[in-house]
Amino acid sequence: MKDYFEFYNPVSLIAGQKCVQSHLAAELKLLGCKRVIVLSDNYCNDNGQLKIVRDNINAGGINIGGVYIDIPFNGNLVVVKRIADLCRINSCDSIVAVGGSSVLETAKCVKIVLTQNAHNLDELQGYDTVRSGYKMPMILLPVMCGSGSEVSNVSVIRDRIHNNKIEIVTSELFPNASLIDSQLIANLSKDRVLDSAFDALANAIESVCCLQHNPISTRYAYMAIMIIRDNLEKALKGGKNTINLQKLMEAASLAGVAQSSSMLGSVHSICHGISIILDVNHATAVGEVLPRVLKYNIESSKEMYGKMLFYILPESEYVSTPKEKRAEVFYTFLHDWYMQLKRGIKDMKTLAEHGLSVDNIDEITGKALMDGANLTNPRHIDDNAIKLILTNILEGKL
Amino acid sequence: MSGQFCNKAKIMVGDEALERISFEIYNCNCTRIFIIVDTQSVSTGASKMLERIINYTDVTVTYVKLRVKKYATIDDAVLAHKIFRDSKCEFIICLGGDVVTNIAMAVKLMANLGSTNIFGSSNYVAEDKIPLMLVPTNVNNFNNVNFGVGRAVIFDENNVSRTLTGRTLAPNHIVIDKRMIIKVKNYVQDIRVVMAVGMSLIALMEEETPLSAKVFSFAALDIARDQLFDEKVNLKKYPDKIINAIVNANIAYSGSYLNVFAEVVANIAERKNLQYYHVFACMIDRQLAIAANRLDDVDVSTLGIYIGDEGFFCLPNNERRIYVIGVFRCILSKINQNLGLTKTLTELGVTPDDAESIINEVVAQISPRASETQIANVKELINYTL
Ligand SMILES: [Fe+2]
Repeated sequence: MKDYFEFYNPVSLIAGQKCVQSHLAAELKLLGCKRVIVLSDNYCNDNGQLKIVRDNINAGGINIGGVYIDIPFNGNLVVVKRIADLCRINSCDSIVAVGGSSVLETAKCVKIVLTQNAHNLDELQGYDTVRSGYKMPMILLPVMCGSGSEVSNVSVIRDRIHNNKIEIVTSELFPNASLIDSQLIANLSKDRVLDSAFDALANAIESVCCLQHNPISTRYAYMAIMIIRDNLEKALKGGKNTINLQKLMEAASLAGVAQSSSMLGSVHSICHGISIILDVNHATAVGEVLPRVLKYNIESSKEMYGKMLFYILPESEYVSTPKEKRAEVFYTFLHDWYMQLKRGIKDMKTLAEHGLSVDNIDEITGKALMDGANLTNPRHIDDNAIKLILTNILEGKL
Repeated sequence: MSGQFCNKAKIMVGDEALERISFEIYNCNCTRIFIIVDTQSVSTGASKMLERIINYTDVTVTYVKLRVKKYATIDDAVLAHKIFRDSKCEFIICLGGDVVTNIAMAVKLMANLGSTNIFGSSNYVAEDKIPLMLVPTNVNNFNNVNFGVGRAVIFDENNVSRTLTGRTLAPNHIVIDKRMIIKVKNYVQDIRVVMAVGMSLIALMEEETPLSAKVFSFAALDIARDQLFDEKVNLKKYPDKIINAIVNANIAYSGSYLNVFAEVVANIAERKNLQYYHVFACMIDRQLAIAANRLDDVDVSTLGIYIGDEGFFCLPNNERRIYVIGVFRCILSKINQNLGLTKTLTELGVTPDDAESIINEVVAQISPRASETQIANVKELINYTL
């Protein structure tokens, strides 16, 4: 195989508590924005995040040319078109989006529809099919600590007509800047914190093992894993201090950088399948899927698991684990850790309780098989393997 | 505040990296290409090879071959920019060492500003319209190793060095291809290893270095690992690896929010007309010793696993920093010794009077952003290395 890699992530990553106040307007000015469209959803409207963002744009003396908050869960093609038209009519020159991954990925899609002068998003579907368009500055503000959408070059948008997801990968999707500020997630529920953090972990871990990993993305991933190790439990304990949440958000962004450079594997294809059929958030599925796919991939990733064990375990436990056991301990630990944390959260549902059953395993497997993420999975995966993983989830077996 | 970090460059490394250039140009919608090379790259045949690959696609190329001086001068930059403008180019490729690289960055800035008046502050607001691709062949004098970052050093009409910084002069691509890298003597490779490792460690130690910048430190250390720990490695065989490590280290080094060490080294190098690496090598050991206690626990532990010494993990917490940095100090000192580099600033011609004004200048430059400890650090560093 040729010895070649590339690493690209031009996003200006601005992190810190209250960085919305200190940096948002300044960054918009630096990018020459005069008339901004603000994208968000009802959740952020009800919980105050949208207000914080609007206030700070206004305070900087920048015009808000439109606000759109009806972005549905997982986005969709129609909404992307509607927002793009709204931007054109109101002559907005830039985008600010605050929300979860549905909002951020919708914003990214709106951006390329505009910069590519397209009518519909599906014209642009695919991998690197888009050339550099005109400039449309975009700033993203996540309100979760998982997907890493705020720093990635990937958008997954629902196509309601075909009950499918459209995936677009192109560097044109990168935002100019991302502001990582825990005041925007201070009231996120504990189950969401846990699932998001495991989503970020999965992004980091898959990026280390996947076929396109490189020295830079790998270090991004290690850093993310370590931060999650050191902050997740503290963040779940809660309290007024949001410093641990801030760290988790930063970890999610680092993991996002890693995965957008190295791409993902079958953890994500299976989670996408589950998310479509059960209509749950992709992060909801990760905690239960991740350790089982890692177990399946072990023969091609043993060495990497061993290395990553150092970043996920307390150091002394890593040192006392014999070398030949490290890979196995890695995925077993992830499984046990997730289950243990989940038990600590009241009323947190399992995938089975979300509707996973023997009746929909085939359908989920079908969707998962179609997903492009399998191509970069370190080990070839087929329908039998996916079915076994789903059955094990149902039966509570690793 | 956990910091702000941005690395705009796409880093493309390895076999046939050059062959991907056309795709990048196509993606940027550009057809008129400006290639700026130094004469060294012409004589090694590197520029011929690049030309062949580019001409394969449907583009118009304008060439500028620069007989570069020791430093990048404004005159050369203005000249190159004139040709760029007259030929209506849209994309800059720079093939060569650090001097021509600085000139190419200045040309990019001029093109973005639409003016050759680049020593103002207006470069912060200009839009980034012109892509710049760097294809490094060499690192000559380290006076201003800027690969990968938005920083260029240009000598003005009065031969005074001026530092330009900003997003609008940062490269958009860095292409590291073995075939382009000029073969150098082993001692030059050694110097590069010292620079790559030293810069990476300094970035980890400076206060408030953003996490993403630290990532590049560790990536650089990973890339340089064989050169540090495997004595059998033939340095000559991996010039591209070392350049890659330098690019990564450099991104970390300049990404650390307030790099006091870099300021001190630059000040002395300029004042005494010395090579940056010479001053760097002379001071690195002392700085590592002084700043070791600033490393945070997590980074110490990560460096511990990096040096691959299981004994490290048996040490009590307070001894770990000294130990792990000690390992690096040992390796770097050994290389420096082999190179015959001086150990004190006095040998480099710095006098106690100089020290006084270096301290004043650097402190003036870094305050009020710098903390008390950082200021104390400057004093200790200079006084000790004298
Ligand atoms: Fe994910």
